[in-house]
Amino acid sequence: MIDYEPVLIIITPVIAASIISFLSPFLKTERTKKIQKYIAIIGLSLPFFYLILLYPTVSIKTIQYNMGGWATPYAITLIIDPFNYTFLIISSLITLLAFIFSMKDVKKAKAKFSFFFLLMVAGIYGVFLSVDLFNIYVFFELCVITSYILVTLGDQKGSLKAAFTYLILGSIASLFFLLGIGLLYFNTGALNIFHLSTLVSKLDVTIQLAVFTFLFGAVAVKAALPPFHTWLVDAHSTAPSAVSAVLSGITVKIGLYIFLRVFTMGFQLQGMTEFLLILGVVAALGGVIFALFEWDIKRLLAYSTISQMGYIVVGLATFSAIGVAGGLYHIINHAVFKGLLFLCAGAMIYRTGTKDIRKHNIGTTMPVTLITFIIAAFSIAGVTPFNGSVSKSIIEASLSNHPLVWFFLLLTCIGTITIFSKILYYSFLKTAIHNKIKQPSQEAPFSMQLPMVVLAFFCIILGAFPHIWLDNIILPATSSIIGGYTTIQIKIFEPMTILKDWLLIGFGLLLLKIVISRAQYIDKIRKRIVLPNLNIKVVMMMFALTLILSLFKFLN
Amino acid sequence: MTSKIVQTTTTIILPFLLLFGVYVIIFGHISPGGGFQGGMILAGAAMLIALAYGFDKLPRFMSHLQSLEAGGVLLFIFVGSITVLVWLPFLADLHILPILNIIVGIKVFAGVALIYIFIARWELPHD
Amino acid sequence: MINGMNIGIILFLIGIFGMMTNKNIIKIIMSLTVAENGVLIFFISIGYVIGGQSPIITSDVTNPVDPLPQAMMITMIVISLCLTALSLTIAAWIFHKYKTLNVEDIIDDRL
Repeated sequence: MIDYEPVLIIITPVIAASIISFLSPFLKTERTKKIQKYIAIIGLSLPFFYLILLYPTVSIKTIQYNMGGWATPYAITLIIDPFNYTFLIISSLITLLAFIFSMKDVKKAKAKFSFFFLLMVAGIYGVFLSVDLFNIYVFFELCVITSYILVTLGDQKGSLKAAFTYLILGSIASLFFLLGIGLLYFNTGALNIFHLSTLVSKLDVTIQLAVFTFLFGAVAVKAALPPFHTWLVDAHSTAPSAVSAVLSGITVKIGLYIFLRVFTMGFQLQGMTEFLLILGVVAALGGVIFALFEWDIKRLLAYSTISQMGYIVVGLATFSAIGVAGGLYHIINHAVFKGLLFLCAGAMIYRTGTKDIRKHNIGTTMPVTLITFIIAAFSIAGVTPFNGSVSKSIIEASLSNHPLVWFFLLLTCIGTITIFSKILYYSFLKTAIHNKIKQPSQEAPFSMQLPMVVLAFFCIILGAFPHIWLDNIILPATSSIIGGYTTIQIKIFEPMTILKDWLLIGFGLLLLKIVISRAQYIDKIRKRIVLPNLNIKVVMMMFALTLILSLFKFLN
Repeated sequence: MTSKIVQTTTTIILPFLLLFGVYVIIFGHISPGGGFQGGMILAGAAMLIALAYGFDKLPRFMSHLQSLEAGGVLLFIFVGSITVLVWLPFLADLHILPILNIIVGIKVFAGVALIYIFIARWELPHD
Repeated sequence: MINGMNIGIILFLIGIFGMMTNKNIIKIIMSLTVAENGVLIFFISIGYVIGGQSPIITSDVTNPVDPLPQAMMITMIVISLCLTALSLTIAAWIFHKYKTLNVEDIIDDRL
């Protein structure tokens, strides 16, 4: 009995994309061009409903499918196990809602946008489903190349240069990934991840070190860890809003998925936990500090993405069951609330026509956007009934041996609160009637309101009832990657955590008052700290990789 | 506008180029080559025609090439699904490789010619 | 000393050096192509067996070279073609819009 499910999940977006492209010379009028959008929505929603129907099967056994029917260690396998399932279900939800949002937002080239969006979604599903290292590379390239194209379709001014920088840095990352695969194949002769996990621990330490450095370089560029993060802010801020939501929510996490799959294969290197902890803290603090000097709303959200990725890497760094469970839960939560934040920003830009938060002047003319933005801001800050608090408290509970890291994460929390209260203050609260900036006339259209409301609903559910999600989805996922089953108890309304949350909010608002009073120096500082040049970014990447290699060589 | 040498050489070489491309596609499962390589040779022939006889007539073909390419994808998935009907895994070993090579060859030719037309459109004297 | 793997790594490093120092967009794209070809040569020479024959198993071939890296590299050539075509399209678009091909001269109106 052959299970065709993994193939169906990948093929459905591809068939929808080719039907759209096939029909495009035959559809000339405006009314018939709408058929293309409805085909795309069908092509995106079918895998989502199919994955929901697959949940009872996945919790019992792993679905495995060999391509072409060849035998197991030599074939290209696609599997769905509980670890994959979390990533697949969250990516299908976010891509479907982002596409519904983009039906009104993308102004030019709608058929091309749908086509490339569907191909990117097929690439994302392919990365999450495959277990063979080279198959991961092929689908990874499909996803990344279509995302280069989607970034150029934004109608902001800097999108071409941002797409070119993203292209060059992403290609270097792919080349490093290939070099890592090549070294691994040369020394072991196998490409299947499960087969490799028995063979890697027998290798020489120097070879393990070289493979780790190459693969880590590729993963770090994709997951935007400093000093490899320089492409992310330009690319995510000049893309269309729906594409930004998918890029920040899903595509950045592909790096972490490959990280978890590959680095639990049995690498035995000293000093990996401390190195990842330092990297996570630098990412978290650096993202927040750079975001204090920005007035562009999408660049603020992109810097906040770098900071949250640092948070997740700190959670995953200890490789213990609690840490990885917290990291996985924060991946899901971050996809939901960062997608919601980018969609709200897209709605605000659509109605006011500008990205500068000092010129927004919204007030209460857009109530749905205001309420969903407040829900998302509470989630990312970690206030108690919303979903950010659950995952942040699990990650902080796993850091009981490293109190200094815990302190830096608290500072990051304060900085995040400052950033989002800055957006709330300047965009919504500060209505300047004498300033002659026109207020937006009405709320965002219905096709934009629907995804925002659905995502806000998921924010509340993921935070208020954490045990449903923990016991049924997250903990089986953790135990299929790391051994050592664990149970986690979460109390929602405990007074100590509520006190800590509101104390952090108090400190954040204090920092906001300092930032607002010094607002005229911000432009001068920002022009000095942002790197404009492509060549310097490449030099920084290579230099950092050489440093990492020599550091690990010294420790081993 | 284009030189006499290029036009004369293209007239002589073009049939052999097309024949060689089709040969590489069809014999792909025995000797080196296959769908992608043969498709690139055919696209090279299309670029040679564009170089010899001018770029003006090119943009007419864009929509046709686009539907040819998309039709190739649908045909490929359809041929692969025939194996599903016989209850074997998708794209199993039922000696369908030459058919897949031909479909891939047509698709690659359409795709690369389309890329060339897109880039060459900037070089047109007007627009 | 001079085997395929060393040549591949040297070509890759030359390509990365080209990306670090060039300012013309077309030269950066050409350095990217050189780096990708370097990785190609490295990969194919992983499967080399000294004194081996080409892996087309129809005649009497007793010592074939490993064909798996070659199959992987055919796929990689296709992906490299897509990247080169895309980057050249973006370069043509940048020239059409900003009238210059120098990476430092493209001024985008960031806030």
